Amino acid sequence: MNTMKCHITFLLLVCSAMMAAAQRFDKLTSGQADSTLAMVRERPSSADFVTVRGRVVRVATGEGFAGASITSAELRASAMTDDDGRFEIRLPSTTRQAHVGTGVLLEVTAPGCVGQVVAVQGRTDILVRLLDAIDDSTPSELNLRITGPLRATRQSGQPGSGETYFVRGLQSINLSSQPLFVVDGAVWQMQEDAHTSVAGYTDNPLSLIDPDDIESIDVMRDGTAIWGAKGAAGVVMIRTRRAKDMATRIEANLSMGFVTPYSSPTMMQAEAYTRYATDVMRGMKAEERGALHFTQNDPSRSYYWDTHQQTDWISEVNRTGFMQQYGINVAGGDDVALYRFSLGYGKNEGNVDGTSFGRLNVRFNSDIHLTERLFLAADIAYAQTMSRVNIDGLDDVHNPAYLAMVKSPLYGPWQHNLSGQETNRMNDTDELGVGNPIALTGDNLPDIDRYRFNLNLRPSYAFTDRLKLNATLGFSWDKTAEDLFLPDHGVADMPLHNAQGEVYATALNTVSNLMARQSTLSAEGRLDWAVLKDYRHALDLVAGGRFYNTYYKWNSGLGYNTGSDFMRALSNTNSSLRWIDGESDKERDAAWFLTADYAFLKRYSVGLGLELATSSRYGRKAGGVDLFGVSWSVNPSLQAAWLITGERWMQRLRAVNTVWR
Amino acid sequence: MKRNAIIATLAVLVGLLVWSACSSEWDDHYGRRSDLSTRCLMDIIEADGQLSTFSQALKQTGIDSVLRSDQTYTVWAPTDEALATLDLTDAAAVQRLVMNHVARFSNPTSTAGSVVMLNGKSMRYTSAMAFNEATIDEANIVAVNGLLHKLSAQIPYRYNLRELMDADGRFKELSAFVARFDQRVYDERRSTSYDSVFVDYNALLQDVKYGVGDLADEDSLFTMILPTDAVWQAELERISSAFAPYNADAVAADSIRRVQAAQALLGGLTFRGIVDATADSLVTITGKVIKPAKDYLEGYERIEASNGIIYVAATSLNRNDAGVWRHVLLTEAEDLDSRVAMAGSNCYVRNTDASSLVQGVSENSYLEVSSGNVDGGSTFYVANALATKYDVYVDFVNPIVDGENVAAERTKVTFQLMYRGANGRSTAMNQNTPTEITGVDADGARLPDIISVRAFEAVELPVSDCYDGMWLADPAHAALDMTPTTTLRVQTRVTAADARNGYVRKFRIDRVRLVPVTD
Repeated sequence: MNTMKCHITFLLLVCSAMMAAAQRFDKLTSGQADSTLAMVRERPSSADFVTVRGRVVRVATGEGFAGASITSAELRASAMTDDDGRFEIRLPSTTRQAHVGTGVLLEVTAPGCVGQVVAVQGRTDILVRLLDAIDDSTPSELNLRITGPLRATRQSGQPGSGETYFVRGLQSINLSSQPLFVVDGAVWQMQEDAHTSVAGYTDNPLSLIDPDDIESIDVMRDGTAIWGAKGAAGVVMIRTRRAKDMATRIEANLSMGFVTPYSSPTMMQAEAYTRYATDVMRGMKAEERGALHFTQNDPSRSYYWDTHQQTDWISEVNRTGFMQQYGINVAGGDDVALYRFSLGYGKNEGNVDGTSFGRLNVRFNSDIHLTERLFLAADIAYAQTMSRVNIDGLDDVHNPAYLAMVKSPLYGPWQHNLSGQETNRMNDTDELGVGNPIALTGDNLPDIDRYRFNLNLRPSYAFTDRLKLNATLGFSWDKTAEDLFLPDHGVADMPLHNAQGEVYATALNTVSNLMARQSTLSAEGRLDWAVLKDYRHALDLVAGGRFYNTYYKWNSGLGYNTGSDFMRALSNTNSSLRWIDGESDKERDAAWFLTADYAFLKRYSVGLGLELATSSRYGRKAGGVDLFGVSWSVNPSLQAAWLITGERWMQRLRAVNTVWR
Repeated sequence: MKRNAIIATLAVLVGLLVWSACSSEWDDHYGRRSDLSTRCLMDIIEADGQLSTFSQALKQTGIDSVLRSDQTYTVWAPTDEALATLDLTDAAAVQRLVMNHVARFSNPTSTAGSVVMLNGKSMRYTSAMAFNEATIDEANIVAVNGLLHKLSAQIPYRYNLRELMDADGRFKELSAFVARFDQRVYDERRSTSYDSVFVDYNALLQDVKYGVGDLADEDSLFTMILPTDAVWQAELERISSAFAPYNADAVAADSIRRVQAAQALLGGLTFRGIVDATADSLVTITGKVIKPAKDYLEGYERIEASNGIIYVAATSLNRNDAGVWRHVLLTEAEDLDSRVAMAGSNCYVRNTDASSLVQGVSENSYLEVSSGNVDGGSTFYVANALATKYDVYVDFVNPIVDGENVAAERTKVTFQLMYRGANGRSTAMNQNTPTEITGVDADGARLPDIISVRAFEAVELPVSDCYDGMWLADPAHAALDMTPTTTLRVQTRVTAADARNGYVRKFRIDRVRLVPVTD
C-alpha cells in the first residue's frame, strides 16, 4: 500500500507541478487584469512610487518576525521584514489609477511558514498572517529525512565514511542492492564496484554533495518505469536548492563543533596487567618468561624504562576533533533568470589523530526563461573531498584504533633513554609483537582525494500547458586518487600467504596507490502530454528516450618492502612483491519508453508502460528484439493504486486520523 | 507548540533515565570488586604478628621488594614458632629459607601438579592442608599481588646433588675439586648492547660432551656415588700412578696427573636418572660402561636429594676399573687417522658382511696391507695409553676371507712398539722374531677366523698419553696436534728365500688391542 501511495503521491506531485507551472504560464499569457499587463508595458517614473506598509505575523504566536520576504514579481519590487515583522515596499503607481493597482499581488514567503499571496487592493497597511509549515524543507543529514523506505547502515564511525543503502532489501539481479541515486534528474555515480586500497573504508560519493545544497530527498520504491533496470532497487531522488524568487538572498552559514575523544570501559592498568600476566605465564618455559623484559624489575637495565610505563593508549591515538563548516550562498535573479550560487567548505576531524574529512564545493544553479515557452535549467557544480582515514576493522597490524585497545600499558610510544627520560624516537614493535599505534596515525594515514565536476542542462519547451517537451543532458567527470604508505618502523611485520596458506614473504612496509576516473554522459528526452486533467479524470501520457554512457577506469598498484621508510614510492618496492592492477569498464544503455497513467477521482489510478531497453551489458544474442544490430529487451509494466485514506468512509475513522498529525 | 514542548521534556527525561541506568550497569560490570584485597603480600606479612621472624628474613634477603612489586607470587610463610631454630645472622641459611618458601604465580591449595619455588626446586601439595609435608595453618589469604599461606612448620630443605656435596662436610675433597671448574661466563645470547649478562658455569659438570652431569639442575634426575674424603683420597692414590703425563715441568706434570685421575674416577660415579641396580650393565653420563652392574651400588648409604639419589661411599668404593678408567685400548686398523703406511706398502680397507667366509671381524672391516719386493707394513697409533702394563695383541684376519684358494697363504711379520719414555723421548721395543700368519695350520685344519697374536707381553708404559675431558672441552686445544705417541708397527719379514717358498708380503689386520694387565 505504501508503494501505491508513493506512486499516487508522485503522480499527484507531477500533476500539481504541471498545474502550478501551467497556472504560472496561464497568468502570464491570459492575464488576470489588463491593468497588470499595462503596468508591465509602461515604464514607471521614479516620482510615482507608493509605499505600502504592513506587518507579517505568525498565526500560532501572533508575533512578527524577521526574514519574511514580500515580493511583487510583475512590479519588480521586494522587501524583507524587520525584527518586529514590519515591512515597507515601494510600488510604482501609474497615472491610470488613483490608488496603487487593485490587481497588485504581493507574495509573502517566510522560512518555516506556508507562503501566501496577498492582494494589495488599495491598502497601505497590510497585516499578513502566516501558518507554520508542517515540514521543514531544509534537511541537514540524509538519515534524518529518510524513514521507512530507505535503510542505511553506516560503514564505520570515521568522518566521511560511506553507508550502504537498502530500499528493497538484498537482491542480486542488478549485481548490487544499492538504490539508484539521482541528483537533479541526472544519475549520480556511486561507483559501487570501485576498488579501494584502504581496508575497512567505504568511499561515499554522496559526500560530494553539500547537505546545505539539498532541497528535498524523495525515495521511490521502484524506479524502473523511469530509470529502467537500474532503478529496480529503488531510486533516491535528490533535488538541489534553486532560487525560488527574484529577491536577492544572501545566506552565510558558519557552524563549528567538536567531538570528544572516545573512551573505553575501565580496563586493567599497568600494575594490574603485570600482576595478571605474571600469574598466567606459568605455562611458559622459564627462559621464555625471563626473556620478556617486563618481568625484570631492575631499574639499571637498559630496557627497564621502555617496559615499565603506564600508557593510556586510547588517549594517545584519540583526540578531540574539531568540525567546521562554512558556506555562503547567494540566490536571486530577475524574471528572466533565477540563479543560486553556493560555495562551501567544511573540515571534520575524526577522533583518531590525523584523520579528517574536508570538502570544498561550488555550485551554480540557474533557471532561465529563454523565451516564454522555452525554459532551461542549467547547473554547474564542482566538489572535491580530501580525506585521511585510518585502516579499519579487526586488523591487529594496521588499525591504530584496534592496536590502541590491545596494546599493553607497559610500553610507551616513545623510546626512553638510560636515565628514564623520554626521547622523540618512536618505539618499534614491542616484545609481544604488537606494533606502535602512533606509527599508523599522523602522516602515515592514507590520503583519499575525490574530485567531481557536474554539468546539467535541462531544457524544456511547453507547447501548451498540457503538452511539454523535456530534455535532460548530464555530464559528469570524476576522479579519485588514493595514496597509502604503511611504514616498517613501529608496525608489526605481516606475513604474506599464498593460495595454499603458506607464508612466502614478510611485508615490512606497504605502498599502495590508486587512480580512478569516470566520465558519464546521460541524455533523456520526453514528451509529456496531460490528455485529461480535471477533478474526476486525469490521464497522462509520456513518451521518450534515454541514453546513458559511462566510462570508468581505475589503476592501482600495491607493493611491499621498499627497503627504507624514507622511500615511499611504488617503484621502490620489491619487484617480486609488486602488483599492478586495473580495470576499465564501459557501459552504454539506451531505452525508449511510453507510459500512460490514468487516475479517477484522484483515488484510483492505473498505469501502463512499455519500455524498450538495450544495454552494452547485453550480449549480442541476448534474446528479445533485435533492432539496429543490438538486442532490445521489451519491458511492459502495469501498476494500479487505490488511495484508501481518500475514501469518504475513511474520514469517519478517528483512529486513522491521528496518524497524520 | 505546547505539545512539542511536552514531548521534548518527556524525551529528555526518558533519555536521562536510560543514560543513568546504563552507566551504573556498566560500572558494576567493569568496576573493581569491593571484596578484593588491596594490600600487597609484604604488607600482610608485616602486619601479621605471627610472621615477624619471616618478615625479617624477607627484608634481609631483599625479597621484600619483590613481594611489593606488581608481579604475582605465592608465599608459604612459617610462623614464628616454626622458625624458632632459625639463626638470622647466618645469611646463607636465611637465603635458603626464603627462596624455599616463595614461588611465582598464584598457587592456592587446590593446585594440582608441581610448584616450582624461587630456588628452582619442585614441590607439591601433599594433602589438602599440607605443602611438601609442612602443615598449613591458614590457607589462601588473598593479597593484591598473590597468595599467602601460613605454615606451622618449615618446608624441609631438600638439597640438590651439588648443594649436598658442598654442604655435607664429608665430601670436601670432591667438592673442592668440582669447585675448581666454577666460572662466571658472559652470556652472549641474553646480553644486549647496554647490558651484560653473566652466568655461573661449571665446565666439569655442565659441558655437553665431556661434563659429568649438571648436578645443580633441579629439573634433572641423577644418581651419584659420592665417596667421602678418605675414600676419595684412597682411590685417587690407587689409580693416579696410571696417569703420568709427560711434562718437562714436574710440578705441572703432577698437577695434570691429579686432575686426570680425578676426572677418570668421577667419570664412573654419575648416572642419569634413577638407576636400576638389577640391570646387566650401567652406563655413566660420560659413557663408561659398567659391566657387570651387580653389586656396583651395594653397601652404600642412600640419601635422597631434590634432583636424584646419592649413594654415599663411606668406607670403600665398589670398583670396576676396566669399565671406568683402565680400558682396553683398541685401534681399528681400517681407521685412516690412526695408521701410516710404510713406504712401498699398499693398504686397502676391506669389508665383510654376513656372507663372508670370515665372521667376527670387528666393525666388519679390516685392513689389507701388501707390498711388492720390499718388506712393507703399517704403523698404527694407539690412543689414550695409560702408564700401566699392557699386553699388546694384534688381531689378524684369516686369509680365507679372500677365498678358499688363498687359505694357505702365509706371511711372516715382526712388530715394533714405540712409546714415550719418562724422559720424553721415544723408546722402541722390537719383536724381531717373525711370527707366521697363515690360514691353515700344519695339518691343514682351518685356523680361527681372527688370529690373535700377542706381540708383546706386559709392557710397562712409563708415561701416559691421554687427554681428559676438560682438556678436550677447551676450544683452544682443538687445533693442537693430538697424535698419540704410542705406536705399533707391523711389518712383513719375508726374505727372498721365503718368497720363493711361497711366502707373500701380505697380511690382513683387523685391529690392535692393548689389554691392561691386572695384577
